[in-house]
Amino acid sequence: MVFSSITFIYYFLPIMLILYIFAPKKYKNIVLLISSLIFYFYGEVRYFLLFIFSIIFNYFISKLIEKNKDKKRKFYLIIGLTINFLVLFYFKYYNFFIENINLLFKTNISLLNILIPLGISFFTFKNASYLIDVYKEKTKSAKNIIYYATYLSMFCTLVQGPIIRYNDVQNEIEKRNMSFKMFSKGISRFVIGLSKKVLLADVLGKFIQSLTLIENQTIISAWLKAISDILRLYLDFSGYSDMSIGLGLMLGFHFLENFDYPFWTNSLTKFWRKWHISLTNWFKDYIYISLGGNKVNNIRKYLNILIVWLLTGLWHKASYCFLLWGLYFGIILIIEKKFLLNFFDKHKIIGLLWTNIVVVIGFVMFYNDSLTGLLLAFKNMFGFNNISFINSQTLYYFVNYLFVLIISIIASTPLLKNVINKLKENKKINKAINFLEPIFYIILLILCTAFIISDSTNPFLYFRF
Amino acid sequence: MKDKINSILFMFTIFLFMFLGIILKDKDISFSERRHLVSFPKITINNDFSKKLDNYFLDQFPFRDSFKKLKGFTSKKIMLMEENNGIYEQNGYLFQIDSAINDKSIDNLINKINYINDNYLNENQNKYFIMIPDKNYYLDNKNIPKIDYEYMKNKLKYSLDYLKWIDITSSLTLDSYYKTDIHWKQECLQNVLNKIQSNLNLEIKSENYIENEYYPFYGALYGDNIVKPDTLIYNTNYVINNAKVYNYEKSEYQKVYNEDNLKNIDSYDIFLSGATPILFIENQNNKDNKNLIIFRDSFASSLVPLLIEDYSKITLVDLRYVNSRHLNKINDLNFDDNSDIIFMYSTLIINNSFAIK
Repeated sequence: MVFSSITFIYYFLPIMLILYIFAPKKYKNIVLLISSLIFYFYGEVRYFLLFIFSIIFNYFISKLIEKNKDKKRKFYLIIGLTINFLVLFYFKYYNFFIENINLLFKTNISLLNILIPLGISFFTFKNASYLIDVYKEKTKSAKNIIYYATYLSMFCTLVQGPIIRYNDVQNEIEKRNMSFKMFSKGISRFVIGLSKKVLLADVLGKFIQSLTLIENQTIISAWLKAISDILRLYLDFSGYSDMSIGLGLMLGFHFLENFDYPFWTNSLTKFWRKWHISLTNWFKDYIYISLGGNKVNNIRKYLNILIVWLLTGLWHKASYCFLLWGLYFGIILIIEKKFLLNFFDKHKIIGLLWTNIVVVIGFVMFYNDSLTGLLLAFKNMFGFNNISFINSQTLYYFVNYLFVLIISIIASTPLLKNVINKLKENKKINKAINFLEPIFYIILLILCTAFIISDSTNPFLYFRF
Repeated sequence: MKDKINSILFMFTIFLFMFLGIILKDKDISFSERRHLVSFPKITINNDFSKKLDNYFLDQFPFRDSFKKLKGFTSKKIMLMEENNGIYEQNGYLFQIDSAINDKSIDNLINKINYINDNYLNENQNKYFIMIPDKNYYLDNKNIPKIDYEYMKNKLKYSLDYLKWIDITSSLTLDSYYKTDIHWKQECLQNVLNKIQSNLNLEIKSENYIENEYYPFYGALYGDNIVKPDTLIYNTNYVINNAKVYNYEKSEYQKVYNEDNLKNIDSYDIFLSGATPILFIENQNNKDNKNLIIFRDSFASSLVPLLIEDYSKITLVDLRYVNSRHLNKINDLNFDDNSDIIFMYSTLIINNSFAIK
C-alpha cells in the first residue's frame, strides 16, 4: 500500500487510527501489529509468510544470542546474520551473481524468475542491526514477540525506512504516550511529506518524462533531466520520510530524521550525513567502524571508505551502474578528506557548488540501468554527442515546468522553514500562523487528493529497493 | 487549542470522504473522461486484488470530477503550467502536444497504400489522397512544438505520386475543430466539401441542412482541463435521412446518424456509428451509378454524410479493423473503373499508423 494512495489516506488510515486511539494502552501494540501486517499483506501477498518467518526467526535467535556467552553467542549471531543476508542475496543478488558467472566462465546457469519481496532491504538491515546490537549488548532483546513484531512490521517504516533501530524505539514500543500536540505535529509532517511527493516529485516526474521523450536531445535538456532527477528523488524520498515520521508521531513514536536539507551544505562528506541518514549511519556503525573506522592507517581507511560505498551501491541494486555510483562517491569522499574539506570550510559557496554538481553528476548513474544509457547521458550532458545546446521543445518544457522547478528547489532548502520561524518571532504573526495552519494543511490535503485522483499516484522511488 | 483543531479537522476530513465513499452509489461511466469506471473487484488473495481495489477507490472517490477540475485549475493558475498531462490549452482549445515525426509510421502507411494500389486498383480510376491536418496545425503559437507537417506532406506526395493530392489545409481554420476533441466539426466542413467536389469534378451546390445540436459533448482531450464541453452539431437533409448504411461486420442496416450513440462514452460515434471495418452507404436518390471508395479514419465519419448526395454508393474501408490482404474476400467491394478512390487520413493516424493492417 502506498502512503500517497486513496486507499491508504482515506480508508486504511482513518480505520487504523480510530481503532488505535480508542484501544486501551495494553492493546495498542496489537492493533498496530495487526494493521501493519494487513498493510504488508495488501502490498505483498506472495512473500507474506517470508516476512512472518523473518519476525519469528530473528526474535528467537536474538534470545539465543542474549542467553548464551562467548563462542555460542557469536555462533548464533553468525547464524542469524547469515540467514538474513542469504535470503536477501537469494532474492536481490543471485541473478546478478549468476549473470557474471555465466559471463566469466561462459556457463549457462539459468536465472531465477522471481520478484524481490517488498521492503526486504529495509527489514533485513533492521534485523541485522537488532541482532548485532543484542550481541554487543547495546540493546536488550525484545521482551516478547509482539514487541519485536511491532518493531519490524510497523507500517510507517516497513517498506521504505527509515531504518530505525530497536534500541531507538524500544522504550516507546513498551510504553508510549500520545498527545494532541504530537498528533497534530504528526499530521503536519504527514501532509507536508504528501505534498512534497504528490505536488512536486510526481509533477517533476512528468517533466522528466517529457524531457526523455524529446525527439532531439540537447545539452540543456540533458542537464535539466539530471537536475530534476535528483530533485525528484529528494522530494519523493524525503517526502516519504516526512510521512513516516509524521505517522510515527500520530502513533506516539519519535523516529530519527532521515534527511536534513542535504543540498544546503558545503561538502559531499556533509551531504551524506544529511541524505538517507539512517542508511548512512547503518553502514558507518556496522561496516565502516567494524572495519576499523578512522583508527587505522590512511590507506586502510580509504579502502574502508571504498568498501562501504561499493556496498551502499549494491544495497540499492545489484547492477554495475550502482557499483559505479558507489565507487564514484567513495573516490570523491576520499579526495575531499585528503585535499578539500579544509578549503570548503573556508570557501562555503564554492563548497556548496561543488557538492551540488558532484551530486547531480553522481545520481545520473542512479537513474541509468545500463552502462550504454549512462554513457549516452554523460555524452549528452557534456556535448560530446553532436547535439545542439537548446531547441524549442526543451525551451517549451522548461518554461512549462519552471514554477514547479523553482518551488522544488526552494523546498529542498531550509529557506521556507527559516522564514516561517523568523516570522513566528513576532507575536501577532505567530498567532495568525497558528490560526491558519490547520486550514493550510487541509487545503494541502485536498489539493494532494485532487492530484492523486487526476493522475493516479506513482509508487515511491525507493519502493524498488 | 491549535493542535486540537488541527487533529480534529484532519480526522474529520479523512472520515468524511471515507464515509461518503462508502454510502454514495458507484458510477458506471465518467463522461468527462470518456471511460467506464472501475467497479468493486472480485475478492481474491493475490497482488492483483490490491491493485484493482486501489483503482476502484480512485475511480469511485466522492466528487471525482470536481477534484479533477481542482487539479486542472491548480496546474494552470497556481503552478502556471500551460500543459496539463500533455494537453495544452489556448483560448479554450485543447491541443495534444506532439512534435516528433514518426518516419516508420509514415512508411508503413505508404506501404499499405502501395499494396492496395498494386493489388486492387487500376490506372483508369481517379485516385486521390487527402491529408487531414490535426488541429495543432492551426495553433498560432510559435513556442509550442509541432510536428513538421511540410516534411510529412512532401514525403507522402513524393512516395504516392500516382495519387492526386487534394490540399484542404486552406479550407480549414482552428474554428473548424472541436475545442475539447481531436476531430473536426461537421458544420464547418463546407469549404472542405467544395474543395473535394471541385477536384472530383462533382457539382458544387450550396446545400441547406437542418442543424441538430447535442450538449454537452466531452471530447477526447477534455480530461481535467478547466474548459467548457463542446456542442456537437450534426446536419441532416432529405438525402441523408433516406440513405441506407450497411454495416458489413454486423450484417445489418443502420442510420447515417445513430442518435442513441450520443449517450455513448464518445458522442462522436453518432456519425456512421463509430469505428467499424466496412460500411456501404447507398443513396437511391442518385441514379448516376457513381461509386466512391474511401480508405479512411474517424475524420471521414462526419464528412462522408455530406458527400452522399454526389454518389449512388459510397464504400468506407477502415484498415485499422480489416486487413488490406483480405479485401478481395469482401462481397460488394468492387474496385471498378467507375469508382473514385480517396485515401483520406488525418496527420494523427499518418504519424501513428501501426494499427493499419
